[in-house]
Amino acid sequence: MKALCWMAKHEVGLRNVKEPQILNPHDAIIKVTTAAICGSDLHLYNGTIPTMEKGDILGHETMGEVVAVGKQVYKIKLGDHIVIPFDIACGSCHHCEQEEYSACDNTNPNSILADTLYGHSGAALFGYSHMYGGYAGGQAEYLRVPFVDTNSIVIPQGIPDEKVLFLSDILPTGYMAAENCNIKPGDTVAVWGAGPVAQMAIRCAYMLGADRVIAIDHFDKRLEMAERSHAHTINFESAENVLDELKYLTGGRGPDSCIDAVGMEAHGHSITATLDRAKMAVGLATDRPDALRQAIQACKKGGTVSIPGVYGGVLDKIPFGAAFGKGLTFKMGQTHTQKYMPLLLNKIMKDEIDPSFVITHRIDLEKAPQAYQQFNDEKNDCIKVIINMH
Amino acid sequence: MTFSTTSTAQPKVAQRLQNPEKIHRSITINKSPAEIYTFFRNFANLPYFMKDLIALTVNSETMSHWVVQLEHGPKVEWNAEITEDKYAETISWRTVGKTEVEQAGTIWFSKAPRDLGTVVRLHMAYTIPAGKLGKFATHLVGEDPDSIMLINLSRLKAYLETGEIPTTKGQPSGRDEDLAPEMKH
Ligand SMILES: NC(=O)c1ccc[n+]([C@@H]2O[C@H](COP(=O)([O-])OP(=O)(O)OC[C@H]3O[C@@H](n4cnc5c(N)ncnc54)[C@H](O)[C@@H]3O)[C@@H](O)[C@H]2O)c1
Ligand SMILES: [Zn+2]
Ligand SMILES: [Zn+2]
Repeated sequence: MKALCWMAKHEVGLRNVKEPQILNPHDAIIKVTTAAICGSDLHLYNGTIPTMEKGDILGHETMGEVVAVGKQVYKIKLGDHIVIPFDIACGSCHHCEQEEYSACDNTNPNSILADTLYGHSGAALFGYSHMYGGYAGGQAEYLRVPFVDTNSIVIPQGIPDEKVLFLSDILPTGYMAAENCNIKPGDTVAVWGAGPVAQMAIRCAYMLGADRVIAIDHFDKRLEMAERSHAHTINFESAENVLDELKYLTGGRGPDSCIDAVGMEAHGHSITATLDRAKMAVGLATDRPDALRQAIQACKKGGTVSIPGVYGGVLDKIPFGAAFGKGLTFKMGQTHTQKYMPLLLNKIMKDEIDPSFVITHRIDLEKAPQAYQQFNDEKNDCIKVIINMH
Repeated sequence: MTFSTTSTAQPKVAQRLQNPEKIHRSITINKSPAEIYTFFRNFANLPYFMKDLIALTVNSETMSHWVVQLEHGPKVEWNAEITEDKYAETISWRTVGKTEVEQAGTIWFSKAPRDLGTVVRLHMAYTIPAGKLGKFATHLVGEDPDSIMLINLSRLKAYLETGEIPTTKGQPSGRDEDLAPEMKH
């Protein structure tokens, strides 16, 4: 079968590989119909997530048709059309019982690596480095899905893939980011980034009762998309001072909650951002947390900073004094995707949200290696890429 | 609930070993102490989850023979005797007769707080002579005895909680050695 493989930093290859097989009794194999490229994949593309190996199959936003099931699969049937969450959960450990699926204890065969780096290992992820389990990803014609009864949602007949594909990641991620803000009537939520995750977070923040959402980015077309979701926008390159602007817009109080939907590769020209880039280039730093710094600085006293943006290592110059001084609450982490999929599918079915509005590029698998480069380098035009897999 | 990791909590038999290396590890498993004890006490179950344990023969109520093939190291064998056995509480063992890895161990099962299941604690003491076993690939992450036992505890947990051990062995990749023969070039 054909699969997109990580070959090296800035090099994704389309390779002919073996088809996956059932390896464990709770596995299923799906024939992938549609997959997407995620902003998280760009962290791999840019080589900022450790423990990738040449030849690793990429992809964690994926859906398809069940073509084989293991001996102990009870819920999912051959022929089911399913969307797969990006994190792999066992469904029976204590964290899974609490619906903290991304904290699953049992799915990472390389947990000792994550234990060493992070103190504890979370759930394994599809196509996302050996530290996160080393599982082959879903930007391939077929995918093995462990614990498929837990790691899937069945899509009713007749619904186009585009409408439900993002249940795999960015829609639940935007929703959990907004839920973590603990929004109350009258609240203003500021969102750093206007990428796909931010676009979902903006809609979900309104869905959860925000009075106003402010989106911050530097790409006009992304900001225009945010405006179509009724966000107020700030272009951080043309604005004189983002922090002053946010203060002004909130009567001096600051946003009630701040969402960092940028993560470890923030752009920017501030002194700290320039220093971050230099340090990363020579291996002295792992992440560029400039959006996070700003979010902490902007947030109102006693407010919440919700961080769906991914961080991988040790962060430099985080204004912890500001966070402490203002008594901020931090909420973050990989999304507990499985927890939110049924609720959000229901909202899609009731036409309360149609997440396909973020798609700007629909391509065939052959074009996918270039699409990685395009999504990384031409962010203004390229907002979300989906790949037709069969 | 407090656990001591001082020498008094070492299995008594370990005191026989001279300057042994020691392992103290614990894990919480979402099952009752009786369930875990019952599974573990049937040593025939151990190869299901123990890394590198390629054969285990139960010879009597208390005696068993173990064969371990280390992933990047030698093959070692030993006979083990169960020296203490309390239902749903604890099991101790030690090696008997001539072996290259002399060892003694105790595992305890005690109820965890709230509905968290069981805390499983493992203490082991072992000696590795210089020479053949010096080839232990202790410099590789996860291949020293302490890490192997930690991995074994996670695998025991995964097996008991889910009925399988997570793996990616046999999955496809774009690495040359994984490609189907007709795809290699
Ligand atoms: N927590 C999770 O489970 C989860 C799931 C999916 C994605 N993510 C993460 O969310 C983040 C966003 O993903 P995406 O798909 O939207 O990626 P993306 O790369 O398309 O979007 C990031 C956006 O941030 C903007 N940006 C960069 N620096 C900025 C700054 N200083 N201030 C404001 N905006 C800035 C960029 O211009 C871009 O539009 C990534 O870190 C991704 O890894 C996390
Ligand atoms: Zn993603
Ligand atoms: Zn779990």
